[in-house]
Amino acid sequence: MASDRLFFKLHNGFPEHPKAIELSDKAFRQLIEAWCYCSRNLNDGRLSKAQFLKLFSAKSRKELLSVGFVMESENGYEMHDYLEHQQSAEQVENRRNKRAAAGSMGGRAKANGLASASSHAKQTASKSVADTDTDTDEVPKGTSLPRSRGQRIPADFTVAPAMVAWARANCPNVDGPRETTKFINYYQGLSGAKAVKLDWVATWRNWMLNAAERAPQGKPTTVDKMQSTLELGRRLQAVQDGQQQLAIG
Amino acid sequence: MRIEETSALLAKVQAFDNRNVDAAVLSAWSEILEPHTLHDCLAAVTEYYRSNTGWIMPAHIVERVRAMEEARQHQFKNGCHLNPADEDKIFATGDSESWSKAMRALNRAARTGVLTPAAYDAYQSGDEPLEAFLTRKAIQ
Repeated sequence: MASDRLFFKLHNGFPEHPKAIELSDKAFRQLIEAWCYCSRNLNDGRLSKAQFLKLFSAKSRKELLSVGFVMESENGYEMHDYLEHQQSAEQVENRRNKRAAAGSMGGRAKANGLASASSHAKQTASKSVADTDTDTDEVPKGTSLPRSRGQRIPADFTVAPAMVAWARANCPNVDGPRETTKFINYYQGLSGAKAVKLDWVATWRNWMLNAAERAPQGKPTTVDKMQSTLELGRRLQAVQDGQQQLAIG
Repeated sequence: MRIEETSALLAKVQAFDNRNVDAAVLSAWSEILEPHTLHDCLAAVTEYYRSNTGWIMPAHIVERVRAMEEARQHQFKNGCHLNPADEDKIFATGDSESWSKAMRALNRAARTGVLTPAAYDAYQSGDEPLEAFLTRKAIQ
């Protein structure tokens, strides 16, 4: 689920910071409140005089200005090095725009997937579904789309003719329909992260390859053995007849 | 029974028990079953598996084939004898080994079913030597 809450960064050693130690409890609390206010209002750490007066008590104002957490500026006041540690209003806005675009793409892809009867189309569609889970997630560098999310096995998962051709070429000893039924049953009955896959066709191919490894390879049937015995008899008889002819000769 | 026929017999056995057969197995079976016919041995295998589930061995086959042969020989009430033409021919040579060889061939023909009681009667009433008679019967 997407969340619109914003966070600001605070070093876990801040209470022991030399400047912070000098602050009274009230000034310390009001400083935190002021950072929250700046983050909430996307003002890049800049405060008007009115805001400055409203946020801090007279004693706190004196303390914060003296240690340098708040500094006077041309248009009022400024939180010291705010943009060095926190996101600017522009950065927050950019991130929101990217997330909105990704969500829109994901929604379209999902709609396309539902409209298509082909499970393969669903697979493809699922790859472009956006990840909007966390606030801190960034779009991977070098890609225009956010990271894809997996999905559970489609209810109408079917084996396309191309998949059948692949199985015949790569897993000739596997009972395809039986293994596919087992595959569907297994993933429909599974819960948790393992039941979610990015590419169900690739997962099916992997299942078939594993089944091929388990399948008995070249074990002779009874008929094979019988034919082999008859052939052996013919061969030995020919040898025996040849020896007898040599003996007679 | 030739070794090729033994392989046919073992193929039938495989149909029942799916055993593995190699050259050594085939040679060993062939050595024991050599005196018997393929026809009788196949019938013995069928008879064995009709009432047994165990691993069949050559002794099981020999035991049953011998019973079949004895039953055939009992059909000849007065035993088997060479016909007058064969007797005259062998007596003329004066060779006792020839006599034994001819009698063994006659008894074998009777035991294996090649010579039936009716065929034996025909052999006795004619003047055809046994070897020629059996060859003609086989061709017929």
